[in-house]
Amino acid sequence: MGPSLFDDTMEISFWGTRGSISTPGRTTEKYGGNTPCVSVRSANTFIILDAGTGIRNFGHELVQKYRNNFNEASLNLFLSHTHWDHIQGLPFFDPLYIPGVHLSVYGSPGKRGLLEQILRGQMDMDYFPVQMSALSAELIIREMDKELIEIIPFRIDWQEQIYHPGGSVRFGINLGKKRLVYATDVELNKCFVENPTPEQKGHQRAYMKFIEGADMLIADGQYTAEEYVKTKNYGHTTIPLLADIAYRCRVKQLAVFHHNPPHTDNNIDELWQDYHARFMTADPPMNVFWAREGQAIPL
Amino acid sequence: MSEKKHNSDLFSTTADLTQIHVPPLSSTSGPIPPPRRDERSHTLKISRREVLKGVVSKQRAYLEAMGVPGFENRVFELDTNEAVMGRSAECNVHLPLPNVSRVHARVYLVNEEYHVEDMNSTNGTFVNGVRISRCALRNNDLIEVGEAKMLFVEAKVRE
Repeated sequence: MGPSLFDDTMEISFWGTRGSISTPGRTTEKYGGNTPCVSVRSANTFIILDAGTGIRNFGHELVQKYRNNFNEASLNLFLSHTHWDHIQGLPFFDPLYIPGVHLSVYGSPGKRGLLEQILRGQMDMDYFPVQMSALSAELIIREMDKELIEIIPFRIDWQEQIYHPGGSVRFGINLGKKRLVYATDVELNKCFVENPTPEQKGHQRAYMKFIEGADMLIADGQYTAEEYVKTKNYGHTTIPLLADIAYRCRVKQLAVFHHNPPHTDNNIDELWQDYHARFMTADPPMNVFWAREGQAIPL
Repeated sequence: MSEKKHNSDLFSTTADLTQIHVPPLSSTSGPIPPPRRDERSHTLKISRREVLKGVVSKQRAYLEAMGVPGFENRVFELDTNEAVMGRSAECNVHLPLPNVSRVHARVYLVNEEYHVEDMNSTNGTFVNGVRISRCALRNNDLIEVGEAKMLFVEAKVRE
């Protein structure tokens, strides 16, 4: 973890950026092969966004930093949804095996009381050798019931996203005047259509209001327009549509996220060169980049 | 795996071993003495050192100054575990340039991977146009420190 930050600065660290399934190998080592996990830090308070395979390396770093002083750290995990690629790393999160560690887990109330059962289920002995009941840490699993969650110094607001199979949740993380939006696993192409219904219009407005003026938007941009022809209804957004909406909503930095598993580093470099040049020369500019593992950004 | 020890380097039982299963050898002639067959099995132990003929692979990394007046084509080899960039003359990568802090950023090696970390500089450190507090580096990443643009180049070389 980097040097100390000013009180009103959050540090956003990408631990896993790949969508759907982990993709280790030489062709993905730059942008990373681990599935989604992002940490947002202010001093010793951590907001953890999703628990894909990337959370494993984050856990290693936490253990190195806090060792026997985990009581100093506040760990709060927010799950966008419970598809495998967003929860699979949780059993490999080292702090869970340390007595005295507390982890608060937040998820959608749409699970109707089943969130804990789902997380416990993936640690059933048919899938994993250690059961949740055997963990040394204390897990407090909550389905969100308030519109605004305060975890000092952060304020977190959230909205349900219906354009993903099974649904998902987007989060706004606010610190002082800074706003980070994490909105992954949503197929905006099914909402931002040529002739929207009143319901679609309502969802468009809600989305645009949520991301309006964000200092950073981390968002699902899994497919190119060409790929989308074959991947419609999979629940993910195309890059050109995402960039267009983000720009219209005056987002300052767009971190394209949930990379398509077949996309190699070279593929992503080419996309980045195209979009970065196009939007940095616009007036006002928007910094578009593809999130990569091992990248920590001050906001 | 055989317990039998041979004096030959080719058959050393040091930790650096690769096991290869081969069919029984049919000939003992040839320009190179044939490897000895283990008497109890067909498992041969071949020293990696022998296969690589003493070639040592080493990771090398450099920072190449890009289009900086007074620093054209200057290359800083990262031959230590940490290199500090800044305006101070005490920095390993000395950059007396506008908008560079006295101690601006450091590049360091951890787990065989180079990272760059901003040292609370005034104007920030950027990797490929994104302001970072820290970033794992990959070949051809462009690090911007004030007006200095440094290309990170990494290669595995055989010595």
